[in-house]
Amino acid sequence: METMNDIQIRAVHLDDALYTALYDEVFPVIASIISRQGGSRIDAEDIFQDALIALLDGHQRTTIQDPVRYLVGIAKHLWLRKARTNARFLKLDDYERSLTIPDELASEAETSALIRFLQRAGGKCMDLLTDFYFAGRSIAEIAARHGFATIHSASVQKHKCLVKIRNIVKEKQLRHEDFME
Amino acid sequence: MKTSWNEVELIERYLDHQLSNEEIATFEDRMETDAAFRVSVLAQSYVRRLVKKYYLIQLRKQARILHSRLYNDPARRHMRQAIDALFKN
Repeated sequence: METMNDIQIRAVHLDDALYTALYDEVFPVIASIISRQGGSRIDAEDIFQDALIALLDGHQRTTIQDPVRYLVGIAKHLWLRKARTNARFLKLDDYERSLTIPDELASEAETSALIRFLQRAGGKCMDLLTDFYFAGRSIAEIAARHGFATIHSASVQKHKCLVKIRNIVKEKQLRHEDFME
Repeated sequence: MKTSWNEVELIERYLDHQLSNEEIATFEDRMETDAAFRVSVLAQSYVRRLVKKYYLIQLRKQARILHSRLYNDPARRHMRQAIDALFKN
């Protein structure tokens, strides 16, 4: 069975075992907090999932020592942001006060037209680049997952995909400020 | 025109902060004087931001599927009842 220690080690991946372990251990805690705050089960699910994504994203930059505590803390911040003036008194301890919600937590509603275009025109490339840049996989794992016979083949395809997506970006004549962000 | 492997990889190393100070100086000088190179660097950097956003969207979709599967799992009926009970009022 998945343990919290396993979660610390493998926190950049989201798979059935990881999600199940967190669902069993942390979702009831977050659901209880959200229910006491007057939120719905759907609110609790959204916030739990957002907190989980923040955990996976944050773990790329630094090892999060206590994933459970982090998830609960981020969930409280997310609720305070969502409920705003309707939030009931919600106590944050020193650790929780020190946390910040990652800016890049995107929602599907915020999916840009360009992302949707890339999903259609280059979904396989986006999947491959995701594995290279953000999913925390080794190049050998990436080669195996994407059906390449050798690591070199995977590297060559990464190069081709990067050039393809880069050219789409150029062709779409993105606004200057998009580039400069 | 075939995009230079070396140029793409050089930009990757710059974005990954893997260049030496001397290489960074040369790289950034070139960005100042070579407009096409500058556009390539900015576009390649932008690709990373797009891939990051794409990654987060995929994670969210995956989380929703897994959550729905667990919530509706007959073997976890008791947990579902306990969760539902929290939101009855």
